[in-house]
Amino acid sequence: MMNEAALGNPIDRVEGRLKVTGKAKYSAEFPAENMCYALGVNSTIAKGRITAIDTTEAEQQEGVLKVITYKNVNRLQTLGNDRPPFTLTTVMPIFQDREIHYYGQYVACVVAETFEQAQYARRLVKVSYEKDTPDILWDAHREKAYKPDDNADFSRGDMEAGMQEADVTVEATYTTPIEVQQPMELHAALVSWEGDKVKMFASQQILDESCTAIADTFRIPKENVQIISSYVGGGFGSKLRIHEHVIMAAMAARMLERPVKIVLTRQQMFTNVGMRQFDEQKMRLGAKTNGELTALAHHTLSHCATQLQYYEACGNVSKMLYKTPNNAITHRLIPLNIQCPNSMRAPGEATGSFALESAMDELAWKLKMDPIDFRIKNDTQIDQGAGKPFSSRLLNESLRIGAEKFGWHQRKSQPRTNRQGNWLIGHGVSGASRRSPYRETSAKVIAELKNGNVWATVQMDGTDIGTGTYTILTQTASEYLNIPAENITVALGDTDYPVTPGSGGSWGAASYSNGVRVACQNLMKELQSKSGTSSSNGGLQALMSENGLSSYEAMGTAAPSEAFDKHSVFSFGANFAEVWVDKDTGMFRIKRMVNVGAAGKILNPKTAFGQIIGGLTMGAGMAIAEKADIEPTHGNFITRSLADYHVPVNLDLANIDVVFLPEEDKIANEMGVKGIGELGITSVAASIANAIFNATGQRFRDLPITPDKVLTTPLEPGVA
Amino acid sequence: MRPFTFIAPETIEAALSASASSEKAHYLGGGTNLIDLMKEDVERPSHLIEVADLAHQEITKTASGGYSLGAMKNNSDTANHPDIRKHYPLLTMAMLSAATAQIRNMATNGGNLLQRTRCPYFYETSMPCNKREPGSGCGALKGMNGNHAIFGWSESCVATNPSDMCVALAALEAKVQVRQPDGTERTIAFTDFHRLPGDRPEKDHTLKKGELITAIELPAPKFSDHYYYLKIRERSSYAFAMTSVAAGLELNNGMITDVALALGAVAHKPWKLIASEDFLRNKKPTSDNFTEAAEIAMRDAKPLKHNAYKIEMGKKAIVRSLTQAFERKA
Repeated sequence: MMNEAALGNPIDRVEGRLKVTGKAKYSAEFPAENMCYALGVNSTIAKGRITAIDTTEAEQQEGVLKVITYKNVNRLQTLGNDRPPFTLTTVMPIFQDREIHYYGQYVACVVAETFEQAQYARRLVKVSYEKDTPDILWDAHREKAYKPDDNADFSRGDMEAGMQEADVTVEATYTTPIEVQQPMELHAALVSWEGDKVKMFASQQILDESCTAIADTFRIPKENVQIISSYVGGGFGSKLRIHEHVIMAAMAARMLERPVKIVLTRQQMFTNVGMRQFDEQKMRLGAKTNGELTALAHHTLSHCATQLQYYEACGNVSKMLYKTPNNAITHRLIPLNIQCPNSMRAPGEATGSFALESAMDELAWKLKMDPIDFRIKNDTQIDQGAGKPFSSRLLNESLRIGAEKFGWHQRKSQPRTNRQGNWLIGHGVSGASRRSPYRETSAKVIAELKNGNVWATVQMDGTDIGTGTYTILTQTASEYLNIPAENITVALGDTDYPVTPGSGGSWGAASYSNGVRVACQNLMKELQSKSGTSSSNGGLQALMSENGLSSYEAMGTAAPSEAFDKHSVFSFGANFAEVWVDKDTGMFRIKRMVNVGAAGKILNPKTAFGQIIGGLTMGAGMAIAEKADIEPTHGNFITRSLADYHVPVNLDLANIDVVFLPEEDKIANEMGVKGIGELGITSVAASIANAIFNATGQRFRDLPITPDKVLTTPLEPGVA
Repeated sequence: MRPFTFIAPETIEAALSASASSEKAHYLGGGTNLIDLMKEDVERPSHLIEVADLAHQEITKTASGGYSLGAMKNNSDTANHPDIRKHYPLLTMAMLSAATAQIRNMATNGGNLLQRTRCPYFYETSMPCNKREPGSGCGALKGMNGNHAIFGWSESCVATNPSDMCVALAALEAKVQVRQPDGTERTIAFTDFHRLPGDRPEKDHTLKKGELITAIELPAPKFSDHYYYLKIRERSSYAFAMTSVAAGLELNNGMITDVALALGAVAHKPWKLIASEDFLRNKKPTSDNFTEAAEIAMRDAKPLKHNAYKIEMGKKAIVRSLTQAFERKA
């Protein structure tokens, strides 16, 4: 009989019913006896130090149990003074001194019997500051830019010679604003201690490395930390790392010897859990008249916090996407009194591809070449940045098939020539790429015979951040154990289970599924060897019966192969957009988009489509509206709610067509699975900006493209 | 939130007297703005008096041939009422461009008139704002003022009124029916209802303490064939206007016999374009005349550092909405 849940079939989410009936428990929904509630108090200056905190009135309120400040804090491991990189295991000290590094930094924690009591008392904590002038304005602090690490720069060939050799050049600067991840589920944690052991339900994407961060912060052994994260309502990178609220709740729970729950406010989601940083990207490209690139430079200037360092590597895409003999990449950071940036969906690639794919369009226009032909002309099957061949690369195919699907031949190459009533119509394209990492992953499979049926449970500490992990792992186990999906339970999000790299960086699906595959294969092999057969004719149930077993478990670990290390493994794709721009008012509409992706084996087209559509939506958001503004004098975000931070609505995304190209890549991993979680957002903004150029003859190099900019941006030279 | 008391009186009279009992009492309509502001610690009422369920839920015909919109009726039901759709489609169009379906279902007509500015300096209690805290200064005047006023602002406040409904009501020359604390009624012309900031930006409108809006009165139907509400914004729904225009034309024999024109998101109040209206009356509905009306409208604009785009945007929006109104098939 055909296995309905076999890999590659678009089955419904196995946890879908639990979610829509409210039975899937998110971190803040777990109960705990004798629980109390914590809330952080945020600083109202961006730089300076606390001179006094008066907690008297807050402490007098009904239900208030404690106010934690620098005065009565537990001593924690500190970051040190050398502005360390913000990694997945970075310690997160809190309240250790009186210094303020950014607006909204926590200065106190109020703990009360109820959430409402904590919320009210939070307003009554009186903090006095000695205020310094914060470093907020980008232009005023350019001279402070520094090279963050050895990977920040790359060069190959002779960039200047390559520009000399070029017949046509483009030199342009692109900027992308601060964006925020803002998952639907607010960051939350419920923490309890037993002696020196801490257990928490916390909304986190990566559990094992988060345990390290927590353990190091409290200076306790890692095995004393347990994190449970059964369901995560979106993360987009903001839940990769431990943030201060987790440490704050843990500290309060330890002091009060009671379970403590913390849920951030939506405003704190803007100030305390990271963001995509502002990037200024300077592009220099040169090409021969035949379209061959002679030089490509990508220089990124960005900012980081004063006490912690992070940068998204915008220039990496320019090392690998197109063939060029001369290449120069740099990244520089200006420390500012703004919270530390962190990863947001396709860090570096989402923003870097906006600059590269816009500049490629500019160069194609100057060369009078079709932008698809121009890209195909500069295709490479070798990753020149890494000096390795690609394991697979269907960029040209994505462009060609997309062009057909989209009706690219209808595009008019001259801007402002495709008109309908008050509308100027434009078509744009961009190539997309996203690294497809694969990391060591372990899983356990437990098979059980019950009521004449065989059942299996898969366990790993991986997380489902809304992407469909439960579903694809059910399908994987069903495939490799050859039993129906209904007989399989996938248990995720608990550090008592085998270790995985967690969900992030587009490695989740590939790593998790291969880990489960190996565990299932091990279980079958072990049972076969017990039975003394090498075939599994009778299947799992027969093997269990033959061996007289009612229960049997096996472990498995999958890891990258040597071939993987010798190749560059990326997913590729192409975006096509049709945009209608009102000729007078500055308004525009994205009429349709086509996305073609080649990302190896698609485990479940339904959940995979969801991933790509989500990415396209976020990419459209980048293009048309997403932007978090900081007040230059006060240093606070003036974009502080989802009414101010504009993500696209349904009406902004009329028609979306998603196509996956068949691709087999056994170098990527045994199952041939590549990442799609971030491929979908990559270069979407460029395809929209390029379509607007095609419609209007105006270039938009500063995102987002809002109606005021459309009204005030001049036409490009050469546009009639 | 800070502690507050809550009552839901059964009659208007009980609501009026509850309001009179305390300085810090506040009527509560749909709560779509007030409750948010309480969570932000911007509004700090000590008593909430719920009025959304009181009488004045009806849409009725008036003796003068117009319609009266109950102040407690919600925005969705008002906008979609068959008589409103038929006789005042400009109002329907403006109301349905506002917020989201969910918010419109909650928001009351009276409350819509009383929604407060969206200026970010007003919302963040650590920043200066004369509207929130008189005397603390205006952060936006020299700060981030991309979506602030170009008309009628003062050194003490550059905020705008965020309503869409009110732009149409200003264009249509509605009146606001108010119950005074002593139980008597008074009527306020719509253009007198909201005020310019001057040196008292904390006062958005001319209601006196304890007064309660009971109805909005629309004059006899006009502009029901030729109308348009144009709202320019960053996304297609759930975004406040960068600039909006309510336009209505009455045409006879190829001439404009009457015109209604108002701008939104450009001032502390809905900005009725009286000089442009006067110019267009008894003229032909030509593109030249529409352009001239737009020039007249923007003559006295005084942009701030980041909102000069509103002048061009306003002109284009006025011409477009008049054109759309004219070309609309009757």
